[in-house]
Amino acid sequence: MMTLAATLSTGFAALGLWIFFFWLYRDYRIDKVRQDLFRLRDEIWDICAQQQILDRPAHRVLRSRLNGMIRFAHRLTFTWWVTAVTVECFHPTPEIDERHRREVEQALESIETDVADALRSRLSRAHVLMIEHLALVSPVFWVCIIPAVLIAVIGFAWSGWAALLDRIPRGDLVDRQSAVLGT
Amino acid sequence: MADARDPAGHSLPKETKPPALNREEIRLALWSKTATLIASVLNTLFKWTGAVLVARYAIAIPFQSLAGRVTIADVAIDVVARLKAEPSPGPWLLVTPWILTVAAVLYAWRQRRLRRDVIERQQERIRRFEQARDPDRTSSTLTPRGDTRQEDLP
Repeated sequence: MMTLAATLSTGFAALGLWIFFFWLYRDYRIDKVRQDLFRLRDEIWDICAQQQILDRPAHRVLRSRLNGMIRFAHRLTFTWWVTAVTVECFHPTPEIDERHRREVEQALESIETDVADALRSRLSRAHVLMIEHLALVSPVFWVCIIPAVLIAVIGFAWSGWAALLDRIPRGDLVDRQSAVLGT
Repeated sequence: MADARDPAGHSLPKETKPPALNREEIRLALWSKTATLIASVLNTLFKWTGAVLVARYAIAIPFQSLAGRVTIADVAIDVVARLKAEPSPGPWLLVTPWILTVAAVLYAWRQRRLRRDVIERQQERIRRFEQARDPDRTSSTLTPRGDTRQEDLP
């Protein structure tokens, strides 16, 4: 009877893990990335308020970008990314991409260089946050990363053990014996 | 006629004049909406199908193998009886993780609710402070509790 109880317990645990990943963890990650983006938006606001450039395009454009990221963070999944890239392949919009890129650059060119660099670094961090979010909510990432980490650990251990063999006194004994036996 | 200019006051090249760009933008918005919809359907399908398959193969089928012989009540009664009778930690090893998991989930849920209460309480002050310095301040348009708006859900 306890075997059946253990089997059922394992089954419920598997279902619980699935629910945890696709509902609870995903909601947590959305809240987390939004929280980090709000922090960056506040930093941008502080820099612009200190420099008295709140009404300049540099602040307006960067704030609207971060607002967009915060608003649509829940849509950012691996499936969405694949679908969007596929759509982009069939219907490329280089003019709009270029205009969006130029909009930021021109807005930042109109302010002092050190302030522009500080704002640009915040925007870059926001992009990194979005990529991190995309990876961490994706089951594909976790399915790929776990074997990759295991392979890396085994590879590291292997090279570590080989180096360890050189330090052992008479570590060449195995090699010498195999040379003798092999002839 | 004056040249088209962007918000920073720079002249725009001829090929990026607003009328042509607007058509492109509408097209992009439509495709973006379609991509979001497809992704949403696929995501929902994947997570619900997975949940059903896990429930079927990890819970229902093992239980069906004993259909007619053992019921959930039998298992529950057996586990409770063993917990009371056996001095060994065996049954407790099975039950304790579940108690801890349920407690952890309840704790996390209460913490999350508390955090949202704090967001709701503080966001209005922050909004008023920023609005005073910058009347044209824009918003992320999340709800006062920091949730996604209903109309932004796919």
